[in-house]
Amino acid sequence: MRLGRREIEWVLPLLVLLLLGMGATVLFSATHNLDISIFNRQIIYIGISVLLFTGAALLPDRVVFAFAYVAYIVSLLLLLLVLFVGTGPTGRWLGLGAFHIQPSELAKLTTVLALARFMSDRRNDLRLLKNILYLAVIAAIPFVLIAIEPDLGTSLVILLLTGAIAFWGGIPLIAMVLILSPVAVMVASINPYSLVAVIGILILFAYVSGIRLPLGLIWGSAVGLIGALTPTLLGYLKPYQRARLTVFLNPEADPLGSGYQLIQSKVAIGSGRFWGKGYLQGSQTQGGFLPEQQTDFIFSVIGEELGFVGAVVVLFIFWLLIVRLLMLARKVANPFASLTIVGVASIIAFQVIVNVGMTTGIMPVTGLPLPLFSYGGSSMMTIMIGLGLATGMGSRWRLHG
Amino acid sequence: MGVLISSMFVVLSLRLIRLQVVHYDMYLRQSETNRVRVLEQPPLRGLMYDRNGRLLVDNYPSYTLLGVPMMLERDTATRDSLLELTGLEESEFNRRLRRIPGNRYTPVRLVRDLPFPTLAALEERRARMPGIMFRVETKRAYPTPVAPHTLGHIGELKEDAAEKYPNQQVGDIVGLAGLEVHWNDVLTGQKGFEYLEVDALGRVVGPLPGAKAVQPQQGSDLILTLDLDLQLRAEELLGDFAGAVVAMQPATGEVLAIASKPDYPPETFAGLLTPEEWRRLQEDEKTPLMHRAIQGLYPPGSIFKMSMLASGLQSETINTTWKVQCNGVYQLGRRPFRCWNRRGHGEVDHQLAIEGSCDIFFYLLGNKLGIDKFHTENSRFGFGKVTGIDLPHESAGLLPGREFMDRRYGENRWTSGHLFNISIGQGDVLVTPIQSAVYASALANGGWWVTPHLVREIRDPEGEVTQVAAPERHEIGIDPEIIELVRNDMMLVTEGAHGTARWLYDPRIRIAGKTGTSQNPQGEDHALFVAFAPFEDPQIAVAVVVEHGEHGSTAAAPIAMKLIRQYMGLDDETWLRYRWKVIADQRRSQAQIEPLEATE
Repeated sequence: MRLGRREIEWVLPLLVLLLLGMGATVLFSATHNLDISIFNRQIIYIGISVLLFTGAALLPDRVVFAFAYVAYIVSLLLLLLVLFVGTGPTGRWLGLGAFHIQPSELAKLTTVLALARFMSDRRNDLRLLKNILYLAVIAAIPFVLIAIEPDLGTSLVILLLTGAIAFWGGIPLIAMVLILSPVAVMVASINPYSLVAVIGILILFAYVSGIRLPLGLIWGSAVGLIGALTPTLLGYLKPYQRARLTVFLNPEADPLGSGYQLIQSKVAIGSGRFWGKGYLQGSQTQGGFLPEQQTDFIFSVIGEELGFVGAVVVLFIFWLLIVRLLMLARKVANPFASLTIVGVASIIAFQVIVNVGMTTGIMPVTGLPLPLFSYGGSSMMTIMIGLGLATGMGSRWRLHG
Repeated sequence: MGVLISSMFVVLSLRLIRLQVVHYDMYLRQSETNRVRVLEQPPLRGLMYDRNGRLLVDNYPSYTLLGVPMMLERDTATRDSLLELTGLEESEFNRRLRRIPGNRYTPVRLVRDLPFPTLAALEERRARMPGIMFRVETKRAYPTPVAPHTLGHIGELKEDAAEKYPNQQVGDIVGLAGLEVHWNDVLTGQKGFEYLEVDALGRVVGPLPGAKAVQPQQGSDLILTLDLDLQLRAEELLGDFAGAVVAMQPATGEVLAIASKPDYPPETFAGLLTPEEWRRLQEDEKTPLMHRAIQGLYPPGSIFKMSMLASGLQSETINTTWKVQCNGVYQLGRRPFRCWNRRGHGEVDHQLAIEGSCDIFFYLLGNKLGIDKFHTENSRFGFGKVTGIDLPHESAGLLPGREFMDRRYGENRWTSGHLFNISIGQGDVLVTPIQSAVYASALANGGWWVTPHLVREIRDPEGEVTQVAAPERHEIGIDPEIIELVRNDMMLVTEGAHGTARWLYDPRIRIAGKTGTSQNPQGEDHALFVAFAPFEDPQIAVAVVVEHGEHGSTAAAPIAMKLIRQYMGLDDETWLRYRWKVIADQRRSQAQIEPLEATE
């Protein structure tokens, strides 16, 4: 490995600024009728985030590499802390004097760093099951800590970014599937259709990957047992415990009744039609019919006021951002940088897809913010640090030609 | 990985196309109803005045609590505090929320006529109770408490009655009784609509931009034929008796007074009526809710005799020289049929038959007529048919014919005895006080009557007369000479030496009348009286029924006389002085004063 020519990555910052500008504009529309202080605070967060972005971009990669585990450990401690002294409406915040942070947001990024560092360390032979299990443990700790907050959406982000980094780092797909399959089956067993679908996919995968029969049998029966036992175990739960589990699986269970959020969101987007109702003209938005319109459901505001055109433009810019990140990840020579960039890209991609899917009613309501658009300092800063790191890494480690 | 993510983005874009380009109309419609509250503006209901322009039915502002079903159905906290504050039953609350199908965002009426403390308490908590609204609506007010049955009352249109009001919707305020029902469409006016924009909490942001409010159109006023003074007097004269009084102008059919007792305060139904109160009124043995003047069914007794006499003469069953011998009893086989006058009237012609109300005369006349003629001839005066007065639920009464008798007693199982009985207006014959008044009017007019009515004219809110009553004139089809003969006979009731109401004679005015007693198997007999005056140019026809008043001449006739005198501008004192003088003269001349026997 040799040092490449210094080249400034400017596409990423440009796309980020574009998205930040659009985000602030839309947030103004969503909040000016409700509580303009939300918007004012977001502007401050954006300001801080831009500073953090710049700082992160200027950090030498080896410093990031060096502090990766430390950051990871610290965020785990914060996650532990939030379980005991969590505040805020959902108990996910950590009060720090005047402001509070959401450690689960931070944990997304630190998990990326820890995973990237572990996988980029050449001493760790990733073909060994031992190392794959270490990797699984690195991901599992924040996953579990976030899941029991409970914050299923964010814990799923951990799961997904782990998969993305592992895939990028060359972990055999078969190993990933083996590790993830019990979790997938457990979650899927809530609903018989999804259980059948997941088991079908697993069997197909096992067949395609040519898994050896003895291992396949052991694995298959273990997974099958877990899938079969989960509903039985659930049956032993008391009603209130089951209710808690439902909250766990659908933490944003809506306060006004089944599907109210979704209905209002779909109505907002659908009624925006092709060109939208016009900026600040959305009746759903301005009338406050959209629940959480400043956070999880901000995409509905885009859909209503800016129409299909606006929504597709936003999606397109996100797509450009992700594609650009993946391009950088492919180009940088440093595996740590490459894996980090992929991790950041996967966070953004997953959140955008799930968020938009949720607001348009094709995915369950999981409560994931839309990166750079949704109100919230922790989410904003985490994404911006991640993007800053990606920009810095992309600038310095580009290869010739 | 890029391919996977890109394909997900394509899926999202396709989803957006589906929502925003293909199916936008559905969502657009929903978003409109979401933020728009169509607030109905109930029109001011028309007022009612008496014939002299005195206000009888007024409007008075009251507050109505409205709720947006979509908001309240989900919000148990608000619902619980609403139930607590208003005292509404939960089932009733839910029923009201679901009563009107369609837009779940249209506010529905929860409570009318909120008491002020409740209103204040609600207003205080309003910020925490999204989905409730208030509206000023009117309730009825009655400057003079009078004629509750006739004026009627208003209330919310219930589902089970909805089809009777094709122009109105469930939950609207409609007339439910009396004139309020019959003239509902005239009184109601046109609803207005206000389009309000609201936010998700149901807070009104302001009028919806671009939508013009439709102003409600006030209903028209009714100018009634009633004379407030006469009406008040009629009610006062009935006093604590149960019964009814109808006074009308024979030539025009205008009803001057129509009273029914016992009654209830007109405000009873103006605001909130508790279920207990309602049950109490409904289950009261004295049936205060019944409008006796149009629904009360009484055997007419002897007031039926003019009709019988006219029927006999018109059908040429008898002629004017026909006479019977009255010994106080007529033996039909082994069964004695008695005249009310046990001493007998002696030889009775048509004059004495009416003047002295001889039962024997009419037993034999009825027997001669037979059931078929009895039915066809007597129905000329409108017995057995509704008069068509502009009030709901009028009873038709009953005039038996062959079909009825066969049905009631079995074919050929009924005898002359039954015929005897109905020929003096007892037994199965049933008339209403309004029919009796029409009957008196027909006699007063000399053979025709005009549909009795209570509304003289309709005036729009600007005071322009838009409609004048045009009631139908009905010819009864009896020769004028026959009517004239009967009228003259009626005159003898107060003027003749044997007249059953001769003690009520007033030298200032010639009043033709007839007393009646309707036999009441359940208790004391009912007293009836029909009259018209002045004889030469009748201005007023009156029918009076006093339940358990025993004798027409003592209980019912004085009421009629007093009403006639009041209407004709004659005072009672002069008559009283005259009456005392007559008695004194009789004493002084040592003349035998005929005892005021229980006369019919």
